Amino acid sequence: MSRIAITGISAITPIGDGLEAFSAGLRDGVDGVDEIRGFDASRHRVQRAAEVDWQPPAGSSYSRATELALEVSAQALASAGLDERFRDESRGTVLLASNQGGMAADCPEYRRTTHPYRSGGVSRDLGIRMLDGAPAATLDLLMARCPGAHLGINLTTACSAGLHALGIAYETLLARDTDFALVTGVEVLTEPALAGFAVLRALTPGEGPRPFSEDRDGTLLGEGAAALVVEPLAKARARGAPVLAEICGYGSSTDAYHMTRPLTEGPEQAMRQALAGVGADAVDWIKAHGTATPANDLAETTAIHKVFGDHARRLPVTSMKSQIGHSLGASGVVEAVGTILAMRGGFVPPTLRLDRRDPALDLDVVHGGARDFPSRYVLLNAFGFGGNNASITLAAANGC
Amino acid sequence: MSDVSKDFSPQQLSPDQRIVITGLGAVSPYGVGVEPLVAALRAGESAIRPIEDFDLGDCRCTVGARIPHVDYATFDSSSSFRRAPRASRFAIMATDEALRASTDGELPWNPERVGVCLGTYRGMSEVSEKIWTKMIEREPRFVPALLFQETVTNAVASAISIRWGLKGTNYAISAGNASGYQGLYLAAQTLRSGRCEAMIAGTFDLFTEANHHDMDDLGMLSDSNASRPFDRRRDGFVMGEGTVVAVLETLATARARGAQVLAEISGIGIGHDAYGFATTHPEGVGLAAAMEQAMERAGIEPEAIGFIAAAANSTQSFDRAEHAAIREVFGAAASTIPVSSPKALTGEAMAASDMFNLVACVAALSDAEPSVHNGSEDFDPDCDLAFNLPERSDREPLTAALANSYSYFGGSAAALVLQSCSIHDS
Repeated sequence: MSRIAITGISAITPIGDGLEAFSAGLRDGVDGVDEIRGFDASRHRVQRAAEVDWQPPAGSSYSRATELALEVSAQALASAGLDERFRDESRGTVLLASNQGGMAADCPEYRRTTHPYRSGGVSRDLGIRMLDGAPAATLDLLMARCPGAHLGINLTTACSAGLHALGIAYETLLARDTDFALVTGVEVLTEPALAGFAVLRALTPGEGPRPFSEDRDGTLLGEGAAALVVEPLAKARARGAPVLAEICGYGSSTDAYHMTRPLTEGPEQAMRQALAGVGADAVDWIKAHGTATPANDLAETTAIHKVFGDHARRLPVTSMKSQIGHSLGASGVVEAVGTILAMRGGFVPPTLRLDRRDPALDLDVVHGGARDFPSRYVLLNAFGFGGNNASITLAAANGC
Repeated sequence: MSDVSKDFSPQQLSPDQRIVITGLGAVSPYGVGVEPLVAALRAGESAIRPIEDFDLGDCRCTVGARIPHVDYATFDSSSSFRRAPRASRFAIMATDEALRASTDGELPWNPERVGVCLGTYRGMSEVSEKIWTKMIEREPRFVPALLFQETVTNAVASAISIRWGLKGTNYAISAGNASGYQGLYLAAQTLRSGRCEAMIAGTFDLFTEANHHDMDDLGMLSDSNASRPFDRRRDGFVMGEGTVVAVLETLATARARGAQVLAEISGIGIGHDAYGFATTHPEGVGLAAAMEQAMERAGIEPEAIGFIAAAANSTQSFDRAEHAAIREVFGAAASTIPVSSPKALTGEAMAASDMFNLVACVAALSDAEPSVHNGSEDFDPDCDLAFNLPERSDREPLTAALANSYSYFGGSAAALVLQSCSIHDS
């Protein structure tokens, strides 16, 4: 089977715009959580989130989410050295992981763009903004800017969308159906998500999320955008592209049980599939889904124990969501880039606010500072609404 | 650089790489079931009616092709079904029909290896609108929790997985307003990689009052209240809706359990105009590439296609682009291959229209008669294709049909070659 390499990455996150800042932020355990500034959250149950300090170029008619996606995608393509020269000679694929895309972020914007609140004529700019609010509009813009792109898919599978996108890129390349894939994740903070997760009692009423802590009481929404370029290792070497990591396994499964209550069998099945090639014992650490809801962290821990057996006790685990919040559909992509940065930096990022160890969650959760830890294989998890599970196994460059 | 493989034609594929349809289910503007949909497409019966269930205000377009009243209670009288969003109810009913057609009741596959993949354009906008209204008219803290969890686009695919216990890969995707065949492509990939034995794959798209008003204000809808693809007088589309679900398996799996095969998806082609925002390329380059790729993978020449289910939706530039693409790919043969756009009858049903086209092709293969293109009379000289060819007794039996999927916003494109197939085929 051919080997699949990651040759370009980029990220704009609550703890850093750009790779250097994101990597340093992860190592230093920077906390991206703050009071919500993007819109008036005073009428909401929860007023805290991890926002990205980034504004679209002045005069843009597109949504902030679309502009973020375009920015990180251009950066990732540039870092992989894929430019206009490849337009005619290659076939590219774009996989966008985003649940909300360019939809209205807050009530004033919804009123401005949508019947029955919208009034007056539709100017060209407003027309663009209205159409950008539809799903997959962001994707069309990415397609026009990605050299040779023919296949474009927007994954909208809730919180597992990001790893699904990465997994589809991996399988499409293994099937030799494309020359390279651009995998982009984007999610911005919106009022429906803030209101909805709050009424589901899924958001922490406190300072920030406390994954794997006994007193964990919910997740916290985050914003994020990141992109990866994926291509066959042989092709990357042939064109002298940088190899940052390799993908060596993908698994996806469904609980077929409940929209919001997780099971352990589904995550188990996804992890086992992703580990079919390298074996569980080879894994050095786990980038957990780790939302900090009572149910997720318990189900994920139980599943990890079932899959890894004794090895689970020697296995560092971390949740990046403690630092950057939960960016829903984008989280799989943003955290994959974070994982690659950590692997290349030789550390495991810390899980913040783990102030009370939960005896029911018997894992080596890295906390109190990053841990220096060279790694060869890392498992990444993402689980979502509807009992939707995805896992990816990454290898350090030259690791598979 | 490109070394994308070319060896996909069915002759070179082993049975575990060939993708067949073993069941179909539909809820359309003609009601519940594939049969009424097929009967209407064959008869050229329009589903477009004056819209009566919401206030049209000062909309210029006042018609649409709505799914009529459905008797849910005889299908499932449980309160959880009754409370589910319209999209989930329709998709469940279509899946039920498709599974019955494919299996005679008991699921013959390992449920851990049965997946779901649904494509959509509007997703759950019907539910999201209620959330926005609640936040604007009342308070964000009064948003109903059970409603919010249905706003995620994968709520429908999850509902299907929960109802039938299907634990394999579960995808919800969008690729623009034509999202149907990208989903089938992923489903085929999941089957070919061996991760699943069967995939429930299809689309759903519904429209709301806000969707209709917004499209009308954007000038996309027909002022003359007519859906007439390729007609000289076409002036915009009419909104449609529906859901269609197919059971997909490899020929090897279908053969092993002696399943009936409705048709083989012998070629999937995917393209994109990559021409700009909310527009199509005047020459339909993405669609042309998709049609070429679909036929290349099916290993057939354009002359072998006996019917084309077109994507044209009665929009001036869009229909012209599809015409240009068909001319580019088929050359002179375009004058002899029957073409019809079901959107003349069903309106623009977004991703659901892609699957209506698939159904039209499967039906045409089953009785060798293409569906009728009705509604257009004054064909545009710039769209000189072969519509409604007179009955010809000497016509070759129809063994291959082409279904087009093309996004009028953004230019994502795809095409399927569907061929007659039996499990006894070598």
